[in-house]
Amino acid sequence: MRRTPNPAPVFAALGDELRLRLLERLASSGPLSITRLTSGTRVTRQAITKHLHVLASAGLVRCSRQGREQLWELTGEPLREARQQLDLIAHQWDRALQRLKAHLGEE
Amino acid sequence: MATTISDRIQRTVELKSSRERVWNAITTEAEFEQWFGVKFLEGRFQPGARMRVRSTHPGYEHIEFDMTIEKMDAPKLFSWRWIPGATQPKNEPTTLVEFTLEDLNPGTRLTITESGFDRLSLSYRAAAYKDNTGGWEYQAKSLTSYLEKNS
Repeated sequence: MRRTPNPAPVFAALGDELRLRLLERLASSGPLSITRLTSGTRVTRQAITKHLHVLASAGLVRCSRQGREQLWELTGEPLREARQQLDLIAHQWDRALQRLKAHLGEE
Repeated sequence: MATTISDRIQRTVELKSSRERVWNAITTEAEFEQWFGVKFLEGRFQPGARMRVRSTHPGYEHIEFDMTIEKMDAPKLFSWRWIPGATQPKNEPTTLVEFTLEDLNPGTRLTITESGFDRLSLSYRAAAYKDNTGGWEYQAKSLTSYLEKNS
């Protein structure tokens, strides 16, 4: 069986609105520099940088250099893994609820 | 804002049965065993109790785990902590499961919330249930398009 990485850091990294907004921004625009990510927000460049590093340590984003500019982009895979594991557990609850309904004579 | 992936799962169902009936079905050991698909090896439902549980699902009878009962506030709230999984390690953080019951007219609204996944290595329980089932359907209910675009 394929080894499943521990998604706990992913959930922790996602537990912040600004970080979620950064992910959405990168998703809709593709790779962006910190300058672009900071523009249009009231958040400082330092704060954005800090949050990007949290996301990077969870494997959600990575930084690449293009010429003189550093660009940040999504990696994708850890998010999918985490979502699949939550979906799996949610599916078990759906089935438990179906069995409860049957037990109560409602189906 | 709507968080698309969070550390909790929530499910709500509307049942025709009365709140007392639903409460009994989820907090009476013998009834719980039947619909949940487990056998209690040790312990009784009472706040603070640690219960040893074995799965009775065909193909998963080897799976044992612990449940620690938190609250039993009849007929409103029943909650426990656990990590269901085949190879449950000691000292692993737990998730909190809460059953909340509300009156409908008639019937009962039951909400199940499981939270705390950000502290838990989900791979234990995912691995425990994944192998034999074949073809889990991952329904991407709470998936935003950006995940798809970047996969």
